[in-house]
Formats: sequence, C-alpha cells, structure tokens
Amino acid sequence: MSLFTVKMKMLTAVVLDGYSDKVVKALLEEGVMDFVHISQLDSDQAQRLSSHRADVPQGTISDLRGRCENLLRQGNIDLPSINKAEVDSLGRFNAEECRTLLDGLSGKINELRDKQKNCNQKLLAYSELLSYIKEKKTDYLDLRYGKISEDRKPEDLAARLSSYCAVTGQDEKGWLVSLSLRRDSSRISEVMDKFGWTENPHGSKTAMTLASSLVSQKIEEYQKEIDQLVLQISQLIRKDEAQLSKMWIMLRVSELSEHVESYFSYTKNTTLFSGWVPASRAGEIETVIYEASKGKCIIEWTDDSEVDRDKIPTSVDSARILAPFARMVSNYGTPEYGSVNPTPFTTVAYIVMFALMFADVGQGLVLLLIGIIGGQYYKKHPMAKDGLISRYLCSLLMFLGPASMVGGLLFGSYFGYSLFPALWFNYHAVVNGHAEGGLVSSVYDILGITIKFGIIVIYTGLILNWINLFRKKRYLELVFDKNGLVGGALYALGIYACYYFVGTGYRSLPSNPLLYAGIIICLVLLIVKGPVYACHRAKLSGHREKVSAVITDTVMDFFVQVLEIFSSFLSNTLSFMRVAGLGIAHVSLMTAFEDMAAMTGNIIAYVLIMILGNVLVIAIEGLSAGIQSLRLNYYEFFTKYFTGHGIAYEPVGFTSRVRTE
Amino acid sequence: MDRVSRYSYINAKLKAKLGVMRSSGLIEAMIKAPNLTEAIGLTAGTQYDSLSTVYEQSGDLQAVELELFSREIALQEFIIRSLDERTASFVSVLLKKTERENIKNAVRLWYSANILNHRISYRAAYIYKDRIVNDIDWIRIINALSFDDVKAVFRDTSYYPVFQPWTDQRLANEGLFDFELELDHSWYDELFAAVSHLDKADREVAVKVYLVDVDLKNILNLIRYGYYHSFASDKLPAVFIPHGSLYSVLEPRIEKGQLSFSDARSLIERRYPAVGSLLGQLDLRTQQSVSHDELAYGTLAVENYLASRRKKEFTSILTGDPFTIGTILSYIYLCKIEDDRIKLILSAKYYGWSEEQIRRELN
Repeated sequence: MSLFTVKMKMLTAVVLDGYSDKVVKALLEEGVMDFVHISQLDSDQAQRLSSHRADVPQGTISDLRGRCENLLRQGNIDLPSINKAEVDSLGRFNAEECRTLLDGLSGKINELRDKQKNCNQKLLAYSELLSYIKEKKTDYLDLRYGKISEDRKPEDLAARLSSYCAVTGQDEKGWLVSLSLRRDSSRISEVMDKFGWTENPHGSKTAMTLASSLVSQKIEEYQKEIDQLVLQISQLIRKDEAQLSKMWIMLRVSELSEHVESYFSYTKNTTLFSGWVPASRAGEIETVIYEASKGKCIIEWTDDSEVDRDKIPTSVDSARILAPFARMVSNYGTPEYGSVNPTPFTTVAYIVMFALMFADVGQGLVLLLIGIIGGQYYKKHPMAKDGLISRYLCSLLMFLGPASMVGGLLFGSYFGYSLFPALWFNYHAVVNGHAEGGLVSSVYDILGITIKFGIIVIYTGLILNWINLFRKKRYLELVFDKNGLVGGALYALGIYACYYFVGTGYRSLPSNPLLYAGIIICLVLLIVKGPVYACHRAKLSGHREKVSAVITDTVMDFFVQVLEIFSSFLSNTLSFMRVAGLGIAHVSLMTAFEDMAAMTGNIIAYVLIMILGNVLVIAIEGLSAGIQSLRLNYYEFFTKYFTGHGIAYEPVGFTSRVRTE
Repeated sequence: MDRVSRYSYINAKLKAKLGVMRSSGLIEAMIKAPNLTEAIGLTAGTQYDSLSTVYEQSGDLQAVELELFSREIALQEFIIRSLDERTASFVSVLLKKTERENIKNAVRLWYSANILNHRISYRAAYIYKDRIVNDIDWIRIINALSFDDVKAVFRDTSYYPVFQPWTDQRLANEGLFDFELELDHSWYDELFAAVSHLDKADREVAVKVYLVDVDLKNILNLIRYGYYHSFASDKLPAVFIPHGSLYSVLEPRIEKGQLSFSDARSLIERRYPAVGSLLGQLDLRTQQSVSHDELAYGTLAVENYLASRRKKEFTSILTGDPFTIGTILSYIYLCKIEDDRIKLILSAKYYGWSEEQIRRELN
C-alpha cells in the first residue's frame, strides 16, 4: 500500500504491423496498460496516421460473446478464465463459424423449450383441477361416475377427454370416474354421449378420492417430463461445454483486442500506440513488447513530470484488506494524480466514528459474527446473489464489529449492561445521570469529546490538503485558499477564541492581542489574494486585467471567503456532535428497553424484551451509525482535501471488466 | 406531511431506477436475438431477471407475460406503500387501470368459453389471481356459467355500473368491444375525480399531463376506428373518452348527435398540426385504395407518432419540480411502455418476425 497515488509513466511504442497482434495479446495478459488515443498526443502527427479498421465489427463480436455467455449461463457453466496458454492455442476467429454453432445449439434448445411449454400448459391445467379439489371448490368441478357402451373402450374415452384436461379412471367395481372443469361440461357431455355414457344414479363416495389421485398422478407425470426437458437442455449445453468455453475465450480475446486496437494508429508498415502504466511495471512492459515484436519496435517513455497532472490517470494502491473503505473512496470520486491516498485515513476515521456511536461489546460481537457467517456463505456460494446483507456489508462488518467491541470495552457496555468496569468512562452512567466523579460526568462532556474529535478530523483533512497542494506545486492555493494555510490559521484562532469563551462560562472573549493580530493578518492575506492571483494570471497569459475588475473581484471574493470560512468551519465542527448524539441515543434506547423489561416482573418476558431490544438497536442504530460515519467522512473530511477530480486508471487485460458495445 | 418529506425518498429511488432503465441496452440486444430462448435469456442479471427464471422453469411465453404483469403490479404497490394516504389513494386509481386490464382478460376468457364455446383449458392459469386493488374473485369469473355470475363478483365494487346493463344475450349479439370501451372510459372518470383530491402542485402536474394524454388517446381511437376499422360517423361518439380539450369542444355536437368525422378531424388539425399532416398521408393511401396491410402501416405511423408524443409529455415532467407526483406518473408510464416493448419483442420472436418488422412496430 502506498501513502500517495501510484507513480505512472507513459509509454509510446511503434511496432511493425506484422507483430501488433502478438503485442496486443502480450499486453492484455499483463493487463496494466491504460491506453490513450494517439490523436490526443500530437495533432500534427495524428493527421498522418490512419485509424484501426476492424475485420469484424466490434458490435458483432460483442453480440456473439453475449449469446455465448447466455448459453453457458443456461447450462450453469461458469465463464472460463483466460490464460496465456489458451490464448496462444486459439485459432483464427471466424464469426460465421461461431454463429453457426450458436444458432444450431440455440435452435435445439428452442425446440426443447417448446416441448417444455406444452408440458407446462398441461401441468397448469391439472394444477387448476387439483387446487379446486384441495380448496373444496366443488362448484367448479364436474365429477361423473358411470359406464360407457360395452362396444367402446375406456382408453379411447380417456384419450378424447384428455384434450379438455379431464382425468378418467376405473374403480375396483369397474365403474368409470371422470373429473373435469364444470365450465367444460357441455363439451365433455358431447364426447360422453358419443361413448354412450350412463351415470350411476347412486354415485360413489370414493370417486373424488380416485379422481384426486389421478390428477396428482398427471401432475407428477408432467412435472417429471418438464424436469427431464430441463435436464436435457442442460446436458445439451454441457455436451458442447468445451467448444463453447473455447469460443467464449476467443470472442472475449477478440473483443478486448479490438477494444485495444481501437486506440492504435497505423502508418503503411507500422503500428503506433500509447498508454499509461505504473512506473514500477515499466521495465516489465518494455520487455514484454520487445519479446512479442521480436525486438522490431521502438519504445519511448514519457515521465509524469512532462505531462499535465490532470491528464494522468490515477492508480491507488491500497491493501486488499481495506477493500470496503477503498470502495467508499471510489464511490465518492477518483483522487487527483499525485495526491494522498485517502483510503487509510478513511479507514481510521470511519472505524473510530462508528466505535464512538455504536459502542457495545455484545452487539459488536453480533456484527462480527454476521460478517463472518455471511462471508463464509458467499465464499461457499460464489454465484449467490447479494441479499440484504451483501458481500460488501459482510466485509465491512468484519471491521465494524471489532470496532464496536473496542468501543464497548472503553465505555463498559455489554448488550446494554455495565457488566465490567469501563476502561475510559461509563457511557450508560453518564447518560443516565449517575456518573460518579471522573473527567467525563455529563452529556456535555461527551459532546465536548466529540467536538475535539471533529477538530482532529478536520485538521487532518487540512494537513492532507496542504500536502496535496505542496506536491501539486499550487503554492498560491496552499497559502490563500479557504482550506489552505490562511483558512487553517483562522480555524485555529477560532477554536482558541471559542474555548476561551466557553471556559469563562460564555461571559467574555479572549483579550490576548496575538489573537487579534493573527486574525487581522489572515484577513489581510485574504484581501491581497485577489491582486496576487491577478498578477499570477497576467504572468501566465501575458494579458493584464483591468484594475477596476480586479478590485471588484477582490472585494466580492473577500466577503464570500470570510463568510465561507467562518460558516463552514463552524458547521463542520458542530456536525461532529452527531457522534455524541448517536452514542447517547444508543444508550438511551438500551436503558428504555431495560426499564420496559424490568416493569414486566417476569423473567421470560424480561429476556425476550432485552433480546428484541438488542436486535432492534443492532439493526436501527447500527445502520444509523454506519450512515452517519459515511456522511461525516464525505462532507466533513473529504471536502477538506479530496477533490475527486482525478481520472481513473483503467488498464485493459484479460480479467478486466471492459465491456465494448 | 410537506411535499419534500412526501416525495424525497420515493422520487429519488424512482429516478435512480429510471437511470438504470435508460442506460440499459436490453431492448436493442433482445431485438437482435435470433430466437425467443435467447431473447429471454438476455434478461438474466437485469432488472427483468425473473422473466428468465420463469422461462427456464416453464418454457412458456405466456407464463413470462404473466410474470411481467405481476412485476407491473408489484412495482405500483411498492410506490403506494411508500406514500401517504392521500397520494397513495391516487396511485391506487392508476393501479386500477391495471386491474381493469386483468378484468378484461378474465372476461375475455369467460366470453371465449361461454359465448364462443371455445375450450380455454390451461389459459385460465395466465390470469393474475391475487388482489390488485379490489377484492375480486378471479377464479369465480373464469368458472362462471353465465354473465350474471360474473356480475355478482363485481356487485360491491365501483365496476358494477359498467357490468350491470350487460347480459349473456347482449354480449352474444354485440361482442365485448363496447363493454371494454365503457370499462376504459370509467377509468378516466375515476382518474379525473381522484385528481381533484390532490394538493395544488400535484393537481397541476396531473391535470396537465392527463388532459393531453386523454386528447391523444381520443385521436388514437378516432384514427383506429375511423380510418382503419371504417366506423360510421354515428358510432364515433361512443369511442370518445368524455374528457380533455378535444372532447370539450366537440361535446355540444356529440350530445346533439351531429358529430361527423370531418368535424373531429379539422379540430385535430388545428390543435395538433403534426397529426394533421400524418392524416393527410393516410387520406392519400385511402384514396389510392392501397392494401389493408399498407393502410395498417399508415395507421401504425400515426399511432407511433401519438405514442412518442405521449412519451414526451410524461418524460418532460421529470425535468420539472422533483417534489411532486410527476416523477411517479412518469415512472409508471415509462415502465409500462418498457414492459410493452419487451412483451412485443418476445411475441415477435415467438412468431419469428424479422428485426426490421420488430423495429417498425416499436418505431
């Protein structure tokens, strides 16, 4: 893991046309190159080059790949992984061959599905009969018990009636039973008349039972047939598994190659391409290209210092274990190239915030267990869809559970009970007003702690911003920006003044002349910011702005900046009071459940209420604390140093998720 | 409850779902699929995932269509559950349109079995049988032996006035067309009555969109029955939904029984000039006595234009105030047309239509 974003280098290579295919495959295998269009580099040179012309349109390859994936999915076959040996053994891609195979297979499946449909329709019809029998809706049924002419066969009658989804059978006395839907009665009667049906006037008590078993038998028959067809479809696909897998690899490689080659430019005999790779992999990539092109290539490297930072893609190298927090960062945006990697800081800030809001050893243990069990489940069932407790949540709970447990140890909370002495202070006792002595004895003390925590977080954000600005060589911003040194100084002076004011019981402001001198210096710096920036712009563009315009901008900017610095720092700091708020709510809820449980005077009711209380608190408070921690990171912490304006580094390789349409 | 609290959650959620719907290339991929099996297979892993599951279990397109219908109901029920009582009762009226569709399907099945004396066997399984808005015993409708039995199912519902005048004999003589028309018209009556109970901002959005919608529907009916089915002028008033700006202008003539096709047409040309020019082209085809198929395509062109106008009306609400019922109306409409497109493509694949034919139908 690196503290800053990964250092990049831009490669520009020219290879002989005949080797470009091998180079593409070698680069795909490495999967570290983020390609850029040559046209973006040098417009004069680009005009002399021709662009890539695909043999088969990319859309066709993507469609075929999609069809292939679809069939593999229907056969419950996982997508194959692509490795070098398989790529080397691939033959020439032939769209027509692929299409023929896919059409043939898909046509056969279609035929089987058609048979499945017919069975399903029969199944539905008999299921309707059975549901009326089970629900005793005999009004909708037509049960007949009788005989047919001796010259007619019962099998013929059964065959004729089966088109109405009626069942017929013979009981032990030789009488025939027929069950159909009453809505088909007239048509059934017509058929039966032709068979000379005579109804038994005494009826039978067992006729419905016999009919019911006949219907169940039919349902079973058709269900079996459907299962058989589903199995046949699966077997049909599995029979061609090897061919389909190979085809998928071929299509995917062709698709990726086409995607990569779309960045290429060509002269008569050479191929020219360019892209970004991590500086640490530069030597490796160079070797790969040399080997693939048998040395018939020219490679040039461009250092990151020679290109505008805002054009360099950002790669963030975070430890794998921090993946849940890396995702929080990427959801917010991509860090600028060369800036601080926000993931480790986010990890610490998020975990501490959560621990302060949701501090309980028992409940933390439950969160940890959910994370472990969920993680194990998804490990065993890699194809399972994410449920309410998703894969991501499980991995996050692996951090939040222990964090909550540590918080519980510090504040002495075990499923809402103070079973052991707190290592820091007893949160329950403080909130419920019976804390004895100690540095923290009231909710105001807790609020004070969270505000101090907020100040630490905000200052960390400011310091990270100063480091980023220094590395980006944006010295003017470093000094004059609201999140720069002036803003930081004003914030520090404001904190000092506020603490003094609170310390005197809200009676007087500090009289220290250094404070006022500091404020005046900062305000002067904010005023001179306008003219300094104007001079800088003039120096860069060689064009001087009108003095009146500079003065107007300076005055406007000064007022806006002052207002923004005072209001935003104040609100950002006070925002951290929510950490205390959530913690207090957590304790209050557990106390309320305990009181309710005690009122019952029954041990079983007591235990049930406490279990229910814990479940509700874990679900509701846990969710709340998670959301509030995220919110504090995004709005109070990230806004100080993380612009999210970077370009994401998206290398193309066999395992990358590039989708080309 | 203020508007922001009422709509912030549900509208944000629906807008996110709309974003997913718009960015999906599912329809295009389905059009290109070589057969039904592959077309349905493409829905796996998308928001229509359940369709592929149902198809793989049954191989039955009609079962897939029922699943699509169930999704539509579940979606509106979800919206209703997320709203306060007043707004929820309005969305329930929208759901009643879906309920009417199910009533029509059930009555058509009954009609087929009892009036046309056709065998319906398994087809009853494709009727949605759970509660939609009213407690309707769907199984009783399917198994009814007379229309009086069907009517009895609706006795305690707002649909009864539509059912009441109809008998077995009348249905046998006149068919289901007028009955279904009355059922459709009664929905517009309920809709405009429900709109008046909405608060001001919601009412403005709903009135704006549904007044245009009812006009477009009236034009559609006029073209469908006036041109394609060549209804006589005296039958035209019956197809007119008694709401909207076109109807209000033509109402005096309709009441006096003096409405002619040309009256209606000239009004449409004034109000909707683009429709007027399409009608001109249709006239030309009629005068040239072209084949029935060509006339059908001419009518289809006008229908597609009207459908695109309706879509535009419902989509434009999304750019307005985000804290009104507009987003919900738009979402329900856009989901419905997406579902209809999927249904059309799947039917087309079943019957082996070409890509070109499908695209022409979808416009």
